[in-house]
Amino acid sequence: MVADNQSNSKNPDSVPAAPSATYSAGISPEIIAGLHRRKRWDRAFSTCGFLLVMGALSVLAMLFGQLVYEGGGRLFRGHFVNDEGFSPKINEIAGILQHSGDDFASNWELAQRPLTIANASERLTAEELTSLIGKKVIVDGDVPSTGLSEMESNTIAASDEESPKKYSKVSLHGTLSQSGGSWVVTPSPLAILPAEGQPLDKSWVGNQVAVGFGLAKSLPLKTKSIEKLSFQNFFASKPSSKAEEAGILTALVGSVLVVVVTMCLAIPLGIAAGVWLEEYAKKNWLTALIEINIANLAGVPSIVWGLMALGIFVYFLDLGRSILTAGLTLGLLVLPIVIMATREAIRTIPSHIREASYACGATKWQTVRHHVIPYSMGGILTGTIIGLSRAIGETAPLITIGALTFVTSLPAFSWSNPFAWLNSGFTVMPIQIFGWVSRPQEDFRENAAAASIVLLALTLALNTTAIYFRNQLRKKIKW
Amino acid sequence: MPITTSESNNAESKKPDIKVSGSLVSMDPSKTKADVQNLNFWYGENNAVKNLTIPVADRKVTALIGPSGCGKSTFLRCFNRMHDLYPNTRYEGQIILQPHGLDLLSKAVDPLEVRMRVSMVFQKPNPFPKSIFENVAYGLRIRGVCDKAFIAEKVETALKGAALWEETKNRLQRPAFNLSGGQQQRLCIARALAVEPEIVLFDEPTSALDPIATGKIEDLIDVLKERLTIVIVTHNMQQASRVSDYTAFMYLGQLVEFNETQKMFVSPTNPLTEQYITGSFG
Repeated sequence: MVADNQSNSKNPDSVPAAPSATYSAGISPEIIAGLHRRKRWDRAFSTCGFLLVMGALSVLAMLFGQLVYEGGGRLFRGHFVNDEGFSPKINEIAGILQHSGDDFASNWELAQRPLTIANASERLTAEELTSLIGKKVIVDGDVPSTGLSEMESNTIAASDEESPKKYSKVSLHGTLSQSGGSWVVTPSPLAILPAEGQPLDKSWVGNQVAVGFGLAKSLPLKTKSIEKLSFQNFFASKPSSKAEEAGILTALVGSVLVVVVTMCLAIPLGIAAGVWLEEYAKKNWLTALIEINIANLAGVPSIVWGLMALGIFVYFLDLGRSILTAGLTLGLLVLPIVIMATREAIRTIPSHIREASYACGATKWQTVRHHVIPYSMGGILTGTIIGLSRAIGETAPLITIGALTFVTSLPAFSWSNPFAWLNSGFTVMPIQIFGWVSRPQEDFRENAAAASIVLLALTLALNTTAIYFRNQLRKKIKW
Repeated sequence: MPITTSESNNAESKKPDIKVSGSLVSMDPSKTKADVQNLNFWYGENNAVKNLTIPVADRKVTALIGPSGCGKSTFLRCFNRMHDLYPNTRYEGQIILQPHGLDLLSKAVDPLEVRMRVSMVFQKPNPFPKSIFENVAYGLRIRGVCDKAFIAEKVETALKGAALWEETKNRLQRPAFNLSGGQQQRLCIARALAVEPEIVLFDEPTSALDPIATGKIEDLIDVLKERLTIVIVTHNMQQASRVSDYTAFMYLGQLVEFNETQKMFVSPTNPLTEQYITGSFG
């Protein structure tokens, strides 16, 4: 072979063999030349395809990366709330309780985190700020009760220790310092004296608390009210007008409930319709018409479904702008997808399996129940879950039927009326995202990105489940 | 292969002059299990089986032979009304099941009843994707039998009848598709036997099997005919001569010759039959 190649390369008329392949001496150079010509297209297409796929993947990675960069951090942040789920009021200060000594009646201090003053240079000139370094200052502005380490200031002023302003959530008392070009206020620990009606004990040490002082102006500050705070993350928080305190709880619950209603409608109806069309329906112009219509329905723009649902469910049937209406609407939207998936799955069952069942004397229903449905379950499941992951991302029809964008309470549930939640107002993830994106404050964009990540993860999880189940079911079936 | 071409050429040229010698056997009516009388079958406008009349002898093997597309499988599937599953099909004539004279093709007869009395084994082994046990038990289960001991007994009998018991008795709950092709086909035979049919139809049961598996199935058919009536479609002349007692040669939907297998293979009366069984066409 090697000798053959060498003789080829010495001869100018012969075509050099491709480095990866050697050809035997018995084959004519023309055929080899033709072979190379044909294989050139293979190489060209394979290279182009590889580049295209890689390009698409890198664009996808960039998009995801941007989303994660923008919203990833928000997923792990949250804010502190009291037992009723409210963040500290304006006349309260949030911080960590510290205690020294054995006497729990006194020696309490409230420690606040150091905060960077984001717009310090807008309030004071550099010289003024420099002159304040190491001195006590009062910063007016909303002190965040969240995981943020930054605050916006309204005013920065040197503090007169003798006559401090009212201690509250909107002013920060501390020492100004400069680190890495930004101005940081390290709050001085506030000595506090528990009110008589509210003794503190060991269990309060190290707790995040919100303390109200009333009009107290001198240290130690007498507490007027004090309550423990707990951390509430993005997933557990309800919508809020403050970006840092807003979360996706109601939207997530709304999405799940709406999808549950959608599933309850679309899966049984879709499978039944698919089986009927494939196994029972006579092939005539009517079923042909139905088939064409189902294929077309799957392509109807979702906003049109929303309009139809608004007319029928909301106005005619008077179901209100409720979870039930949303579930029914999305159920109808998903139904053609489930029907088509069912029919596709049924068609993959070889006719000889069906005939074997009939030849045993089975009725049509027995054949359907024992064979057709079990063997097509993998495909049905896949199609159904793909339909559901579409339903979870739908926005337009739900806006049309009047989903709310700001829902602060979860649907009520009680055992005496277990289906009452069907009638409550709702919001869903895509609408929450839309609501946040359309807000003017930039902070809400971070929330929108974080919620988008959750929505993507949800869809991915659904699809993964579908693939897992399909593979599991396929393992059991061979023909 | 050139043979295939000549076959189709022959089919075209021979079309006008098929001389039908028909049934050369006069059978005692008490010895028939089914009487096919003037059977015509249509797929839409296509008359696939033309005016067929043959007797099917009780507890004997009747083989249907003929080139591809001659309608022998179509004819076989008339026996258990398999064509009822598909639209645009039509029967004419009768298949009288003896001794009670039930016309299997009558509109008044439920095809489900027919299929409960006439079992079928298909060309490709087609076990259900269920366990070996459930495959054999399926016929009983759909009839509403719930007695576990009874089902287990019937499954064992059927598997023994299909010469599969020894190989499978220790793995009845394993999936049927783990069996080899020949074992799968015997499982299908066991499935057909479990419901104690009167007639078993075999549609080229060995065409997907190797020679050893084929031999086992042929031996099995030999044993089964002692208590069952068997109709078998086969492409294999040797198989027809080995296993069958009567043979019907069909061509283009028509019965060309029907005779005792021995006579048919030794001295065919019709030149077309002779050409086919000597292998000069088909």
